[in-house]
Amino acid sequence: MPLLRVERRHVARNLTRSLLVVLLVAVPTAAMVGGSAFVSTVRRTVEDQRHGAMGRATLRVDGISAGDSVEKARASLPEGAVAEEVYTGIAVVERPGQRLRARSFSLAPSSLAPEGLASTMVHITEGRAPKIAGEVALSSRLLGALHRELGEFVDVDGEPSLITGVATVPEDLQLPVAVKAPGLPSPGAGRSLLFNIEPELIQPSIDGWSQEGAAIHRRSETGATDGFEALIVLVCGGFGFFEASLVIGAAIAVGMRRRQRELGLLGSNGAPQTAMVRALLLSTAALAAVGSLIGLALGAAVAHGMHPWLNDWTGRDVGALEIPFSFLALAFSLGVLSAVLSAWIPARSAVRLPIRTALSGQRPIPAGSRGFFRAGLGLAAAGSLCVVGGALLESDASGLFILGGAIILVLGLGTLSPWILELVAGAAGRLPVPWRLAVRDAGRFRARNGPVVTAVIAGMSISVLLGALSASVNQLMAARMPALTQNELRVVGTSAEAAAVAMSTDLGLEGTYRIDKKTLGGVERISWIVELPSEVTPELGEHAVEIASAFRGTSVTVGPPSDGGIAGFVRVVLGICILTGLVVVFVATTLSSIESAADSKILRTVGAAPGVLRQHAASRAAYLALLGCVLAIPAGLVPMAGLLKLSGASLEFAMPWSTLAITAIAMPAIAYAGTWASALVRPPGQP
Amino acid sequence: MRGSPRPEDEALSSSPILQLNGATRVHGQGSLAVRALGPISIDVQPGEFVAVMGPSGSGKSTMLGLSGALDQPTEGTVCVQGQDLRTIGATRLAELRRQVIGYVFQDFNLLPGLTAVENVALPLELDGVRPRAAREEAQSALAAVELDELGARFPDDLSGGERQRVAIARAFVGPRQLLLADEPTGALDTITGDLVMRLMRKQCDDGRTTILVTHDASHAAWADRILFLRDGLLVDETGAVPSDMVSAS
Ligand SMILES: Nc1ncnc2c1ncn2[C@@H]1O[C@H](COP(=O)(O)OP(=O)(O)O)[C@@H](O)[C@H]1O
Ligand SMILES: [Mg+2]
Repeated sequence: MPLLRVERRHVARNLTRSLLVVLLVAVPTAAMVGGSAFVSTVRRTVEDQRHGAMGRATLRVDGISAGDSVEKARASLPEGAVAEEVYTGIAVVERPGQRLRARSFSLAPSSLAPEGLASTMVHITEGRAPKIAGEVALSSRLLGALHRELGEFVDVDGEPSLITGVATVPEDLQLPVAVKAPGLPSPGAGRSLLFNIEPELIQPSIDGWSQEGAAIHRRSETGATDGFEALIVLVCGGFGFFEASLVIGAAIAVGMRRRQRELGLLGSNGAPQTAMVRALLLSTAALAAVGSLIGLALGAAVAHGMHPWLNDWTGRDVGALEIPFSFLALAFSLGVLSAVLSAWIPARSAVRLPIRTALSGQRPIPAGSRGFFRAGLGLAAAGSLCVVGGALLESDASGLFILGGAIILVLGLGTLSPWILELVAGAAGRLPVPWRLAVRDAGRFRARNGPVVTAVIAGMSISVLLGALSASVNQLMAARMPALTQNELRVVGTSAEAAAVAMSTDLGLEGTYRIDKKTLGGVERISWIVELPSEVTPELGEHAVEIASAFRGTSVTVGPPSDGGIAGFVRVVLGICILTGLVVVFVATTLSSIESAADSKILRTVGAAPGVLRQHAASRAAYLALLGCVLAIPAGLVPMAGLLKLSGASLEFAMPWSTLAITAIAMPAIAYAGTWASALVRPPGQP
Repeated sequence: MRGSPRPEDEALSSSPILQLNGATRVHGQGSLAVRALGPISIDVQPGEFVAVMGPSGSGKSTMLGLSGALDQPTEGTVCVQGQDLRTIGATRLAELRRQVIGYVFQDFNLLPGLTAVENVALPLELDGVRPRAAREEAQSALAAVELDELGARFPDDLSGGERQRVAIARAFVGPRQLLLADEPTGALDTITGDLVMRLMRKQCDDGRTTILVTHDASHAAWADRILFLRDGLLVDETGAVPSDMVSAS
């Protein structure tokens, strides 16, 4: 009990470090809760897949030829059972000068009603379903592209049609959709019947249709589960906790070092080692529990805040927010467990220090770093081999190999870092005093700084990896469709040349045209570029679309190519990762300023000016950040190169220069500036 | 081994290197106020070796702290080389610590990340002296404390006595004139303690000034003048102890 009292007082007196532990547990817990809520909300479940494929039906029969067999089936259905007829095909939707294609449905309005069997396959979100010939419901994207609104007319499959409603396919919000009145399929559309009956009850009919060549889909047989998303959350969450434990371990080791004498005193007064370790672990567990709870609340709040944007991001109707409660329990216990585990080694080694050494306040002589060198090099080599092997193997397990290799590579470089720290410390003699102290001290406390550097590597390597992905995607987009100037139009398709010739004259401007050839993945892509003497205004663009629609299979693009949102998504994730990296760097910074307090005091007594004291604190922070960030570059690039190799020829590796600059220059600079500025607020070395 | 005051000391005696004028340090306020020191008035002349003695808690460290501007008086003034420490800014104070005042503490206060010679060169380097020149000067300062062999070692690899000698070399390196030593022999054995005292005496004989706080009468006996503190006040002051008493001890 007295030991616990000592611990409690310690937690209260070292509030900064206690809050650090709380924060370090809270952030990955929040990420895991938010991430799992995000994934399980966004995930296309088996039920979602079934709704997309067959609505609410238990049975879907495609390709029944004769009408009378349907009537027969309907007649033989038991009480309450229904069969609904749906045609799906491709409709051509036109207005003067513009022709677009859309997924077409032709079905009874009753099928689209809330209890209708097709209502989860396609939805009427505004207006009403078409009832008679000459009526149509279109998706909002299609309406936008055609500049049409409810109550106006378009041509659908050659028939002028009144737009009566807005239709959506929940599983694909981007899909152009045209819902037509019942019994009016688009040319070439396929016919399906939807039933809400257990298939066994009409087995004879099913057998009959089968023999006629129809395809039978039972709800129970449709859709497939994959545990992939859960795996991703687990791996990413696990990675987060791994990173947090590294930093927590380092924070606790620093705390132990500062309490060395106190622990020696407790020991010399007869406190048993196990009791001391237990008290230390209990206080860590209590802090971690607080952090985990905060993280749970924070994660749930973030997921809630994100929910309104999810439909736009994913392009499908994700429905209500789902927070998987099993993950909450898992995240909570992982948070507490990883903190306790990471506290265990420093606590045990601090308590095991001989009492006399502990009381003297001397630091035990650090072990040599040869072992770190061998182990680190071995791990880094093994990790790289896994990545290369995974990329060359091209099997199902390749992704797993590359992921595992990436983690091993990070661990290897992290293990190597104490050796690098010692190596650099040996060559620091010529550096200015603040940097010399930073480099030497990092070398003296290499075993403790290793985990901090590893955490920085882990955090920043993901940013480098995503940066490389983003750069490669951008490079691909640029290669596929080089950006147009403001004066240019790109024409592609079967009659592209003729359309380009037409545009260069028919737009009323003296235009020129040229051919543009790009070889991509061994395939030559040809397009024609029309250059106008003035900027392509929206009106000119529309006019060009009209001209292009006069040529079969030909289309025209204006402005920058769309990348389908991939690059945008990667950029968002990249931003989050850089922020996470910043948090890790900030934590490393805080730790090293706690470390440097004693040295600052001495520097002050020998007459270091306030500016030098700030530099001293700042250079320590920047040095560890710099080392971690520089090592993060290979740790991120190697796995990305492997992943891109695996993806085939379409994506080629591109060096993400801007991300590398952020990583190797901006991050250490931010660490330096941040510590420098905080030293302005709280001058170091004050008594 | 101890010199009588030299001519230049006489000439400078009108301008004391350190002057405490009614200096008082009170901790806390109101009924909780604790008077740690003063009011106390002392003049220390250049080249003097002054020892300060007194029971524990009598304000010795407080006095030294005020003298070196590690702490500010709540009343009265402290002047170093005629400059009132309260009137000068942080940058000038730092400069004063680099160029005029050196400290030695009981627990050595060496930077563990710097070698012995780098520790000694530190004030010079901070003062803008070229690293090579600073190192050379530090090396000769180390030679003066008979440690020129051990310059490349880190503090953790030195014994307590060696560390304290490095600290003394650092306190006296360059142009610095005023050494403030707070129980520098407290953590050392008798023989090493005597060696440290001899070194400080030698520095004073070379014209520098030392204020030494000590418990040990045999160490105080090396001084030109001994001040006695009790409950924060100056209670007694003696001149030099006759040299035969020192040799007898
Ligand atoms: N920060 C402080 N707050 C309150 N009292 C203090 C503080 N520092 C010193 N004192 C008190 O001032 C007196 C003198 O202390 P000090 O100068 O350290 O004594 P010495 O060095 O002679 O042992 C002591 O009674 C001590 O309790
Ligand atoms: Mg004292």
